[in-house]
Amino acid sequence: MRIELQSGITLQSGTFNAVIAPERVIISALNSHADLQRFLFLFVCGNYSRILSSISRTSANFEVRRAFTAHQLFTIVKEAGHTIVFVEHDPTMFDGAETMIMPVSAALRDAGREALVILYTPSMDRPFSALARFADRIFQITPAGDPSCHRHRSARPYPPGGLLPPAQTTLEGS
Amino acid sequence: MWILDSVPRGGVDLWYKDGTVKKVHHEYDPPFYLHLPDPHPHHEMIEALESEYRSEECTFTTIFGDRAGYKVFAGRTVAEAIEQQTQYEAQLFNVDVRIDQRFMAERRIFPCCAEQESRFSPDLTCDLRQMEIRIRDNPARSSVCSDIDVVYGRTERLHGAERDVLADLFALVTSCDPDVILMPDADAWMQKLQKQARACGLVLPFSRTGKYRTMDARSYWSYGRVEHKEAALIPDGRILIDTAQSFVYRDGGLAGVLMAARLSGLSPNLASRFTPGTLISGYEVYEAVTRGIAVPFRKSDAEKVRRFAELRAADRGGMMFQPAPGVYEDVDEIDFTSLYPSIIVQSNLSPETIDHPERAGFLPAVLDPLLGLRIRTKQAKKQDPRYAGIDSILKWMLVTCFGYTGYKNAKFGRIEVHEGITGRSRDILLRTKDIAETMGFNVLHGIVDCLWVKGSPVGALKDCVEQATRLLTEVEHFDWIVFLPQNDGSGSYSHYYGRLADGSVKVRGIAARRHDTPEYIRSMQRDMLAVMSGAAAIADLLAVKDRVSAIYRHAVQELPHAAVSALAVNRRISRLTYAHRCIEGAAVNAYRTNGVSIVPGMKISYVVRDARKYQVDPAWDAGSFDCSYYRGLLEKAWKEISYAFTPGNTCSTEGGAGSSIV
Amino acid sequence: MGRSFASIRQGVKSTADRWARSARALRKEDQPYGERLVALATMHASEAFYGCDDPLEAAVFSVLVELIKRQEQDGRGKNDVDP
Repeated sequence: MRIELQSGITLQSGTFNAVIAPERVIISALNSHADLQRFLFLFVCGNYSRILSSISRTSANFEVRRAFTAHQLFTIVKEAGHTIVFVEHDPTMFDGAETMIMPVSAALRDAGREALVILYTPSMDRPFSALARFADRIFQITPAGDPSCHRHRSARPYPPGGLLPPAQTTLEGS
Repeated sequence: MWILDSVPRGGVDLWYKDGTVKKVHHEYDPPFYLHLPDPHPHHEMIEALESEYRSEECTFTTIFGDRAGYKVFAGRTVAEAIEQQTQYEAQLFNVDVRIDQRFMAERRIFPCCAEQESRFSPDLTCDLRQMEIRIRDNPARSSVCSDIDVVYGRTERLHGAERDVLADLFALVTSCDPDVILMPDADAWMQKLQKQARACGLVLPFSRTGKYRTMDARSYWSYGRVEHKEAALIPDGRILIDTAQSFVYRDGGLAGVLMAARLSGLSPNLASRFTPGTLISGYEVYEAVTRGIAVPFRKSDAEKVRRFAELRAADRGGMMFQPAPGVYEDVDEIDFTSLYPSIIVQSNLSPETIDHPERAGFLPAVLDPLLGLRIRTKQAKKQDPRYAGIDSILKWMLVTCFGYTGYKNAKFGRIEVHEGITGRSRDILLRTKDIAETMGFNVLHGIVDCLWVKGSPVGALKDCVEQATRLLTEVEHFDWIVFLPQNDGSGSYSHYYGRLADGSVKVRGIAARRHDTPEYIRSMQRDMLAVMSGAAAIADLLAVKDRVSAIYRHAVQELPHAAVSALAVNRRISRLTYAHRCIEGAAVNAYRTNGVSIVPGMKISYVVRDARKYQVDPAWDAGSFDCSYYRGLLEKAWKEISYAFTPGNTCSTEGGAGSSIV
Repeated sequence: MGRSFASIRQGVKSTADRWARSARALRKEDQPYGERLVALATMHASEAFYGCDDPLEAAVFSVLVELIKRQEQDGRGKNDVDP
């Protein structure tokens, strides 16, 4: 099974993908993509979601489960049996729980063996970069909407802070 | 036995006051509990635990029921290792319960209570020797103290060379031997005093054993804001309260601190440094341990999966109506007392009753006596204002317990419980509105747990509502009330002010009430409201319009001559970097340039020197201010008041100001 | 406030803002009606919140309630006017 998120970006089941893109791009993809409506879809987010309100999915296949702690996120990813697992990154999730980044990252990789896993953030930060360490592919869509800089991960895991843009020290809250 | 401090020190030290103060040491080495849904893959680890940490098989009780597992006589590090080794399959309990609190809870003893007093009594007798230490130097700017007021029956001022001042202070503490030290900014000063003492060859006298514990400085997220706690040095056997930083002390006084300790099972030293949220959480932990219920280490069980529409329907807060903006006469505010906790108790809402409503829930059982106590203190404070402090602390604990049923750190919280509460609260408010309208009242506004109505007799409405909902209410009468508009002309949900029956003015959301308003502006609005408070009816209100306008004109006229300190904006910062240039960002930079380390959650105070150029000075360093910027603030504050005098805004019966069709 | 979804009030406000933008695209003589529509959309947003989770539904509810009200009031007004 493969999904075209946007022109030039195709995601395959059995992969763990990290996606950095403006919110409107991802919202548009989630709302309008016919393929995404067909499959059993799990949307995972933290306490405050920036995109959930803009979703207009009424499909019975679209399910949501929220994580308020890093441990809950771990549980949710491990228990997910959906075809598509979409995780909206919450930068504050791992404050005081940095030791959970590795386990969650590994769980995303494990889930990505069967499902299509998307880890999404509107902008790069350190926890995201660490979570994406086991991603098979990392996509970055610039605000211009042009996905020209999509990077293909090599077989080695990324070095910490490696090829990805430097982490921001703070994320603007909404 | 009246316990004034508890200290985990190779066991537990309890400090008692019974005329004299004495310390009793108790040996105590409690285990944590481990449950493995599937123990077989981990049998080697289990064997290792048995041989190294005296681990034994056992059954223990959680709020969901009994679990088969192991007790392990080891600490948090071992617990965390077990987590990692089992890839987080292990469920652990009683890992991070404070040792001294657990010791007391298991024996059903608690701090700050005499033999004959009940834990849930609003009365608190204590016979503690008090001392106040007020260091005049500014802890943010100076690490040396050279000017101290000490109050212990009499007041003494210590002033001069640092070594002498410290020596005198320490001598006073030692000779007076107080049980309680009240000291503004104690936590900011303690580390510095310790350093200075060492440098001068003196010994800090605050701890009765000479030993101290540290509570680290940290920033944490609470109620949508970042809070900041200074690192604290906690003495043994003596209560040291940072009266400037302690929310509990500022709101409830010493009685509030001691009551918070009594209820939470945490020593007053800890209780005074905690937020109401941590206190109610502590209370729940104490109650769990007393009942033999194991306290989960991590929150790892998540809400159930839900469809998008289901979640959106459930993820809602309290009911809010929107007032038609305007000035109204003879309005009553009917408030539900501690609505959310009352719903928890009345509807038996608890994590384990979501799937098993037939069980008697843990949360309702635990909150019920606290609720009862609060209702008693609320009544008591009407006759005796000494209960106001305790009532306030209880109110805050109960308010935050709701927040805690949903939030990250709640040991016994579940989102579904939170949703059950808000859902019922919306129904209750709507039902109340129905009753009011059926009885001929006009409903002007409502927010979550209160309704503003116009009509009579309000006593009958109150009785009817209480009978129908089986919840307690209070009624406040407004001679007149102003519901302000938002920028788009529709009513604001939370900006209003009005005169109560006793002549005082109740204010929400406007400049005089907001924490960041500079004193000059706050005091202008206060003066205006003071004049308006003399008006018992709208006609009288309109009659004072000229007097109030004169206050505004005078404030504008005198602004250039105002003291710079009166123009300081006080804000709690939540971030250190800003996306766009702004005044607050400039203020943060100004602090940095002055060498003050900034942490999110800190309070800063600044004066705007030039708004257009984003030039801002820290309050202590400010010389001049931007008149036009502050005139703008004055004008905004004036508009909030002048609205009450604008013809066309008065509403005699129903509808709002200018309620013609748009 | 709820926590993961934007509040209904915010949602209705966004809807109203979108309608305001669309209203500007109307012909000059139609624009006042577009503006009135925007005002009607937010009028009963808070009450609509009690039963509706969808901001668009709440905005439409608000507008329809006001229209029915005015229709009735106009109807009464007409009857009052006696030749």
